[in-house]
Amino acid sequence: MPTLRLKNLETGMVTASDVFDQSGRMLFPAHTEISAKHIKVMKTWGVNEIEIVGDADEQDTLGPHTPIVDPAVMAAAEERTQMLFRFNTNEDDPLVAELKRLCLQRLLSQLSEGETV
Amino acid sequence: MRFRNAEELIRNADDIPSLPQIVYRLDQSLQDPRANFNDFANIIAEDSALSAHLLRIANSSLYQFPETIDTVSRAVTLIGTKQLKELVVATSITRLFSGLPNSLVDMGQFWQHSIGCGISAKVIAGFCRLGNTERYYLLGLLHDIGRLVLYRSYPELAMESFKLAQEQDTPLYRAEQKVLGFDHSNISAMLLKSWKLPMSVRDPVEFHHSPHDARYFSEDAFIVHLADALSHSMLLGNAGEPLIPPLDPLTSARLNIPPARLEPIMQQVDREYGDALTLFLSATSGG
Repeated sequence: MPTLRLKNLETGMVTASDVFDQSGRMLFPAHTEISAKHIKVMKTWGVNEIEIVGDADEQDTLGPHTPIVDPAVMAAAEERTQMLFRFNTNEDDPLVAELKRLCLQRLLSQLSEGETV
Repeated sequence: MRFRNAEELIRNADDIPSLPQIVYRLDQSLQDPRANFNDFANIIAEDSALSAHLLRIANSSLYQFPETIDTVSRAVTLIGTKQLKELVVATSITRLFSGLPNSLVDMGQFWQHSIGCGISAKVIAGFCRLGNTERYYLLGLLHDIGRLVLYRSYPELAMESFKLAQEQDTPLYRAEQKVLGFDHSNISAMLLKSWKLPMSVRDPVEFHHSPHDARYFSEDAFIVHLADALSHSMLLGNAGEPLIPPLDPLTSARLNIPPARLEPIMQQVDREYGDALTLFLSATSGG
């Protein structure tokens, strides 16, 4: 059951579990087909990600619109990220994983703009 | 030279700047039930650089006030008394330390990291729905200030720590612990204590690498802890430690911040960081 970020949601997807806002109020139940209005409601109430029905491999890693990058640039960015996070050995901590993903994204955009890192 | 604790190290350093009197007078006035906004404004108005800086903050995009604020008393009203002290302390401390040349660390980089951490802490606190977020800016801004004391007054001990960190492949703060017996976060806290800043500022700063051990303000310590990692991950400056310090596995649960929240937090930090840096540079240039 993939968890999708709000920006990667598309209308017609179906929620797999109830959707709550930050204070725990239910916005809409499981098995709701998502419309543009639902997405607006989630934005309004600060919902960042929801579970939808589908295959787990749809899980967004770098997001669906990641531009294709030069493999050499990718390798350099990945190596630098590994280096930066060398003291964070708890890879299965989701917070560290997310921090790493965002750091890699940032390095990639800096590198592809020709900056040195 | 070896010291028993951070307090002794601070006492032996001969060139520790003291906090300007205006901060203490403002603090006294803020605690006086008879004082009003005009009294606060009058105290600030005595320091023209501080007044100019406060006006610039009030008119910056951080407050997004629709009109131009042109008097100190209006700026004080807008900023609010709770945040006023934090802003004045932050401005005074950065002014104290900014003009000093340093061969061990790039001061620009040092402040970039500190401001990045300050803004991150402020934004995280906002996402955690905590009030008076300016307080968190101060915590983030000051978390590494002990390193400046180390770099300025005891460069040979700082060098030794750098070397040890590299040789043993360990985070710099752990190398400092081996060299000194304590690390820069203890020095930061002691420096703040010597300036008579309250426990609510000292505790989160002292435990920003081990937020679990904070005695009274554990949640705030976790916020500075995460903000430090965030500022590192966003590649904002560098205060000596080139790598990202290990993150406490309980951070996410303790602050109730799910991983998906990090991205919007970073975007908000990106929006505020540029402004904060400009404001900071205007404060340190003395105008």
